[in-house]
Amino acid sequence: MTNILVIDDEPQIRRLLRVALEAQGCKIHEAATGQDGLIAAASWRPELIILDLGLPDLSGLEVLVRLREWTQTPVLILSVQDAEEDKVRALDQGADDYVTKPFSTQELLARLRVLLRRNHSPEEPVFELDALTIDFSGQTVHVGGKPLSLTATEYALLRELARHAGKIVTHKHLLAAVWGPNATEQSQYLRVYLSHIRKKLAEAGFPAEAIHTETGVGYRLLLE
Amino acid sequence: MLVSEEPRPDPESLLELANAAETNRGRLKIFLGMCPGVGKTYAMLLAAQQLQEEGVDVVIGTIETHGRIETQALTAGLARIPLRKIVHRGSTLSEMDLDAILARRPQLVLVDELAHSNIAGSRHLKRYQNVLELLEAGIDVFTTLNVQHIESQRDVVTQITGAPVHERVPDSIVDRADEIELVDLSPEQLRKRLEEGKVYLGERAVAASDNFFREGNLRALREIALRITAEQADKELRSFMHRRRISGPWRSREHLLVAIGPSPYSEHLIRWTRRIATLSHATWMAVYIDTGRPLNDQERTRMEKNLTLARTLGAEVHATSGGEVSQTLLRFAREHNISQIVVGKPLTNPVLDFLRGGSLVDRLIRRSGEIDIYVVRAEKAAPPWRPDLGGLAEPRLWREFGQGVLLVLGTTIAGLLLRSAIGYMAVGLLYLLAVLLSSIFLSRWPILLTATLTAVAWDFLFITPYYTFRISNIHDVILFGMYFVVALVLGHLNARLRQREQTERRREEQAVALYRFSRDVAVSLSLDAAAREGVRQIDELFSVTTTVLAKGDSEKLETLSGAALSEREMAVASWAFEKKEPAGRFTNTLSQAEGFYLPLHTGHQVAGVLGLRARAPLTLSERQLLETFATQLALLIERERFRQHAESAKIAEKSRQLQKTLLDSVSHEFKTPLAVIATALESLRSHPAHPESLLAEIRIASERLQRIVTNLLDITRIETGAVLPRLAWCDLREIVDRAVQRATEDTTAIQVDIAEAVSACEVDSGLLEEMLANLLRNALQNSPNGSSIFIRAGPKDGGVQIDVCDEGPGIPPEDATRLFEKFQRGKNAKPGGLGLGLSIVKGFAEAQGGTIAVIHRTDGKLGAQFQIFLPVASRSMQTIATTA
Repeated sequence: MTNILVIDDEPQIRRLLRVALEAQGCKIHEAATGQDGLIAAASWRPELIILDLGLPDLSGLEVLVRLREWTQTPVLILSVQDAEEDKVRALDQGADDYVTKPFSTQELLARLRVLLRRNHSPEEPVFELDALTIDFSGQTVHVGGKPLSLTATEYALLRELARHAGKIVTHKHLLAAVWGPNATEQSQYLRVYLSHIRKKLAEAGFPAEAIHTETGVGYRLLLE
Repeated sequence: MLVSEEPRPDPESLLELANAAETNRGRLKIFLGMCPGVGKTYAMLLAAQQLQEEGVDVVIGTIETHGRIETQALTAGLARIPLRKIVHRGSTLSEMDLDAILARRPQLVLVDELAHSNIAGSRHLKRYQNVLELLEAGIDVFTTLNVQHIESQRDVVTQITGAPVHERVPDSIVDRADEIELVDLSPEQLRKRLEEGKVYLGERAVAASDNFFREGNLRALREIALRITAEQADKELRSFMHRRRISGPWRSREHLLVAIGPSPYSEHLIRWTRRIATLSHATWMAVYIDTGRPLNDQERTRMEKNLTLARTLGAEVHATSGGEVSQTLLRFAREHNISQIVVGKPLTNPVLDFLRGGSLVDRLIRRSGEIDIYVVRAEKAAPPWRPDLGGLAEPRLWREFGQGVLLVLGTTIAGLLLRSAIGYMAVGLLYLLAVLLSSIFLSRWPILLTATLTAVAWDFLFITPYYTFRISNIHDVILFGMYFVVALVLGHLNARLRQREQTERRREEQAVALYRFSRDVAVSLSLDAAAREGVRQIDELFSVTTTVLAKGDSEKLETLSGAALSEREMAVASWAFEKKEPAGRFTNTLSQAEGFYLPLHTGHQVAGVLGLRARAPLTLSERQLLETFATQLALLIERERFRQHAESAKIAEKSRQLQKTLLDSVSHEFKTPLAVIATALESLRSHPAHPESLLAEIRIASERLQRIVTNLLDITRIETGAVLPRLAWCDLREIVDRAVQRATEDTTAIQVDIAEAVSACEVDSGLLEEMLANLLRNALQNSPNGSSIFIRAGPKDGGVQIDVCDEGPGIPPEDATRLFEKFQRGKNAKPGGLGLGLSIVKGFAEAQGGTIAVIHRTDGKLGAQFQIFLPVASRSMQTIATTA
């Protein structure tokens, strides 16, 4: 049974999330304000937190920052704010995923599953997704058993996406991880290299759409 | 140190090149000839024809063919801009039509006779200014020029030919030329052409022509023309080397300084320096040293002329003040990094020089150190000139001479009366006293006259033998000699002291004026006030009529303060503004205007224009002070503009923020119920255990959506003034009950108390119900669970007052008015809602002529109390029932 904390000021949303998540066998705890949410997160130790950005007392971003001071519990942002800059800000502050209201229950559940699964499985030396195999220790990539030749940068990008498979990885995160902390504004690099990776994957027989573009925000390696 | 070898071009010159390459100004080509008749116009037309064949759009701006058939033939096929007819003093004259050319925008325009002076009433005084404007507009220009018309060559040419040259062009335009083509003809060939009558000389010049066209003259002129062309070629080569980064013997920049004064010799000095500066590729400055000696009108005019000449020849012109010329000159030179100083060979006075410790030149050379000194002889042709004797011509001076004579006369009479009583030595002291007195209120020359007169009078009347100039006694001779020296020195010293004091005072006055200007103008609260103050001070100080103009919002020049300008004057001001150069009266551009217009420079930009209507041209020091004022004004205008920019940026940012907040709240309000509905429907599809609860959620969400839509429509009705109350007698309790039912399902928490006197009101029941429902919803939302809400209605001031009281946290006073504005929510408000409810209540109340206010509860309990007042008729239900 998974413990999930819902921090949202709209009672209706909370009630509905409870109905939907309890049907999946989760245990739900509700908080209507940021303060209550922080207390609940500390005392109740949920495995996952669903956080609204528009809270009456603290802003959702503030709650996120305070949570990240002491816990790496996955946080999914559920907000009506659908501007790219809002998403990027929340993800860069440490949120693990972002779903905008109105949302589809199925999609929300799928995203929650990804977050929970990753959290259950500590990082392994080998990543496998269908025909794709990435050996982190040997720094090799295989598609359907055949080795795929990638440049150092391409490999680093693919590795970063695989490590956060299923989650959005922001431009800033990717740039900092691959090019270093000074290159966080050059998102045009990413476009070029990702198109190379996609092309190579497609030629090797792995669907290029698996690397999904979250417009203006980042990329996501789809698990399903 | 003077000539240092640099391995590569300095950055400054590279920048210059980059700038030159960047701007798309037109190219200037000059067809240069040594004298009329060498075929410049012909060569120019030939080149133009060739270019036209190559597809260049060539037009003729103005061409003088002087009836020569070969030249006339060459104009065929070239487009011609018709000349503009100008009526001047009754006769119609034609002139190149500058505006028509600018409007036509050809690639290349031919403008003959660069040195031509325009007819009075044209925009510019000189044709070369027209050419500059054409180049500025990006149009290439071909033009023709004779060497004798070049400013710096004028006196050389005059020396050679003896014929005066009236029309001149500044050297700067020759320097500006991208290409100079020498149209050369040997003197023999030219004389042959002359004999064949192929040279047009103008009617008046025929007589002088024989003299002018002597072979010796022609050779000398040809040499000048060749030299100028060679210099140009050299310049081109250097520029080429710069561009290609070819290292060569780069010399560090030489800086020349020429000291000038009000003397006519200065003109020669200026031209000489210009020539040397051009030859050695040096920059040059001209400086006038104000020793404090006042200049008379004639000198001032000449000074202005000299300074203008230096300016037109491309010098940077400065004025500085100081007592001793050589020291001041050297100080200035060191401050400005000057390597060579040019001074005139002075008319020396051996005695005076000895007393001063050598002539100016001697002193200069002795102290010059690392600076080279050029001493240039006075030009022979210049008229003899002596320094003005302190303005002998002024009437004030004659009066002072008179006063001196009277003083001597008075002392003499007193002396004669006392002669026998006190003796001649005491009379001598009396005379000395008179000289001392005179030096207090008279100026230099009258003092010296007084001193001399007293000496003469003393000798003649008081030293024995009387009434002769003869002095018999040897000690009387010594006494007289000493007296004479003492009187002269006394007078001289005192005069100098006063002169220095005057200089100091003038300088102080300027400093004070500047201080006052910056103090009063800079601290003004608004730009308007500052401009007004600036105008007032300039008007007072220079006795002129001033106008300050600045660029307004519409990008057009607008009068900021001062006298309004006529349309014509405005055009002149605009020209000065656009071209960033002074224009109008006392300048070379649009000099027919009434006013003088000075652009207000701030670095690279022009912030506005300062317009002056003065009777006489300003003196140099006045002009400098004015320019300082102008800079102050310019900075002020710029500061104000920056402030406005910052302000509007701040406002824009604020409104952007506000918009985002509004958008966020609207989208939140719409999307939350939509999300609920969507999610609930999805859950319903997958056969949940409790479908009723999901349906209930959908109903609540739909009601919320409906409320938002109603509120938005209501506020739109209020905004557009579409709320028209329909008054009718209603039962107030019925309205309240309906509102309560709409606001909440749990009606028990709401207590209602309606006074019998107002149980029936003549109101718009729909509007009132909506108002009450909104107030109740607001009260419910802001009260803790389980608290009660109290509605009370009663008569007040011939109307009805309805109070809605809650038990919430109350409204902070600072929120009391803000709360009723659109999209505003209280600080303590709970989440949800658009912040429209209360503004709708207010809108509806006002539509019925009523008011709404919020206060703390008056009955002692904690909470807010909303008070609606409606000026409507009311009575008890009982009376309604009986009348019905």
